[in-house]
Amino acid sequence: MCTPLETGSLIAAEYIGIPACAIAATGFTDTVYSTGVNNGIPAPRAAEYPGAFSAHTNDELIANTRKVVWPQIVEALTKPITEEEIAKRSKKLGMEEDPRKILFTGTMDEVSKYFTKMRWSDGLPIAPPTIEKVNEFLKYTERPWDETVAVLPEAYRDTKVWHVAVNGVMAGCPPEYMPLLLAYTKAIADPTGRQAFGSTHSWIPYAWINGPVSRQLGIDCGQGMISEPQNMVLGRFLNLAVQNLAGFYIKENRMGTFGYTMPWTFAEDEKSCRRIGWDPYHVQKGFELNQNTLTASTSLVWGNNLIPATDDPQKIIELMAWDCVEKQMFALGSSFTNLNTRTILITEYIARNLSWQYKTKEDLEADLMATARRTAYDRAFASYYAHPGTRPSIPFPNFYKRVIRNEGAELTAPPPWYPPNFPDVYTLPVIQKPGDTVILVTGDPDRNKTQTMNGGGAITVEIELPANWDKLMAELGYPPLKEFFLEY
Amino acid sequence: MKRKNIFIVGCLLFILLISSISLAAPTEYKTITTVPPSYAGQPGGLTDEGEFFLNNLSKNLINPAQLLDILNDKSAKKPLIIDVRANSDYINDHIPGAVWVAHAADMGSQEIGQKIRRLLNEHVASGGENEIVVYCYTGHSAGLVAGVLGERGFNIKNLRFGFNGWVGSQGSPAVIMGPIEKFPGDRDPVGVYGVVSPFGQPIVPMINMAPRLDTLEGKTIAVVGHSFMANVTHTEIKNIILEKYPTATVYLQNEIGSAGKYPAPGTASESVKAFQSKLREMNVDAVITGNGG
Repeated sequence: MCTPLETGSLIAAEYIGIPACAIAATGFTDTVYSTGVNNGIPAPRAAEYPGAFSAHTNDELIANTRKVVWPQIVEALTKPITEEEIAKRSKKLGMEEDPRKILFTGTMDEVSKYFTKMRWSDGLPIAPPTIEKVNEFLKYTERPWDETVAVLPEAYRDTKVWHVAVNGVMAGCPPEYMPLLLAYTKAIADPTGRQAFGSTHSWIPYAWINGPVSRQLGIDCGQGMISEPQNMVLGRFLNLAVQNLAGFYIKENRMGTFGYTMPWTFAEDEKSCRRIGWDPYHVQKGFELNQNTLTASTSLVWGNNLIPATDDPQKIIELMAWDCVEKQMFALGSSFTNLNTRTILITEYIARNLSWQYKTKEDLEADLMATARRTAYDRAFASYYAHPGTRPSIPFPNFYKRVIRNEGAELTAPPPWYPPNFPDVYTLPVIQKPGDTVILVTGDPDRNKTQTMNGGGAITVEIELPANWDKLMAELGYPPLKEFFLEY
Repeated sequence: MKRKNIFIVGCLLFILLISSISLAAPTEYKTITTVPPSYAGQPGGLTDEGEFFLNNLSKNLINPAQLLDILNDKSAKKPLIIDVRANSDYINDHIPGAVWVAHAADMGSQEIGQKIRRLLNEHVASGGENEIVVYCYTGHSAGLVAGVLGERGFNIKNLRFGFNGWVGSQGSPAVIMGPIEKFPGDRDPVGVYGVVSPFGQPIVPMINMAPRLDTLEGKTIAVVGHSFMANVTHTEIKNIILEKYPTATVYLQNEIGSAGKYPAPGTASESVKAFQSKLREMNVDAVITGNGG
């Protein structure tokens, strides 16, 4: 996130005819190059700092700046730019005026290897995107094949309906998933839906489906939901979309330090919601119960889950609050309060117990916000010593006071998981405001599970089905959509 | 008795005859299946070379990577490369050194055959290999051409997957110029797939890069950005500039600001506009920004 941020000054300068150079750590100069090229700078110049800045002492920082970085800066600002350099930085292969052009011919294995070599795939085998296969997907949308769906950062490519279908083919999706694929592409056009894809903190895209089409297409919300094949191929599409449609590439501008898991998708268990009396997520967002939506989000962690061994709603919410605090303690949660969001998945068993005390998801979130507090000292400690990138220039005690002052800490009873008789301490809410926490009922209804995924916000878009959807589904043997409607 | 003996001998001979037929039949069958019929030398039949070609069809393919290796090997004798696509596509782009004689559909004529023989002789006389590599778009039409010319005795190979395979195998940044359409009747062989690109064209046009400076002496330089220990590194960069170029002027982040993330095309950013205004207003000649990590 910092490299594109700082490269912005390079781009702004070059646009008004001022030569510029961006300094970046080892491994991040490629981010400078791709960010520049994506924004119209054909041969951006970078100077590489050897290693991680904030892991070096001030003496090392000064020595490296003098001996290693400075000569590169001089060259970047004074050495003329050549045609070869422009050709090297700018990539053209695959960016075809006519998307239907055959670029490669080969066996299944050769196509997969070629796509991997060209970085057009995530490395797993792909289904070959032939014109015939792509055309099969186009049957399931009313939008013209060459209509632009989105122009997505970072690469700002003209992503047409065609390209969405191509990646659906590659992922192994059934053609009738096309409305869902288009919805995801639209969702990540919103910054909320693609939060921090480029960050070193490994934000993983994921999505969930609401509405009858999720049940019609068999998007799973039960035990092992994310590992069901129909959910997995949709997750694979997300992975390919982030790369091919949005233009985020591993080791270039998708810089997760410890890498990424495969994105996942699932459905909310709306039947459970109806039994409990809570609204499904899309209804909370203002959609009708039997409208179809896809919500795109990102997460910093899938991580382990909680297994509440109690039927006491108060204890359950205290456990969930503790989980929110634990998972929001470090990394981005330590410093960026504006990214302080999370999604909590609750199986029906636990949701039912909670519903005895909380009639709506909103009630639950409100109490969670009041309970999920951490001490200001915890917050200051994490933010001071895990501050992304730069060591604070003031001593810790002063920093702690600043956190209390600037972030609205209050002297309160300690969180309920602290020892009894623990004195009052300064605490801060982990959940900043209502709506920052998505609550979904999903997963194995016979197990007592909650899963907190801290991370990005969520953006919900309607899934547009073609008018002849029922006819198309009937041809494939699916029951009509109405059979999957829920009663109000 | 004599008649009886004659009858017995006759029966024995009959049994032997039947036995010999039943034993000989499998031997004959094996002979037929292992040796193809030879038409060499017969009127209207194949030449010896043509017969050899047809018996070795699977060996008469060359992979794009193999051809690339040969062309890159300075010590290797090069084959005569013949492009049998449409002439306009050959003009647009072709494999280095390839010649165009005729479209694939016309390659069977005697006249073209004679022309190719002359070309090959000239090619060999000038140090080339006595070998032809022929290519079309995908390898299908060139396979037919190779069959026709191979039957006439040319030492000829078909470039597997044609020009599409050639471009793909190089992974080069060159723009692909091949057409979409195939020849009428051409079909992908079973298990072979012609595939399309998974992404669209970028919408942001490229600008001309700002000219570089001849020296930093006397110039005004902005050292901006605040990420990753910039408070240490940028101060040091200012020190270095002023040591090495005493007449230079340096502005740091707190004096001139920075642009922030460059906005998506079609959208405006106040911070970018403000930064560009500052750069102009303060007559900045160069920008150093960082730190990325």
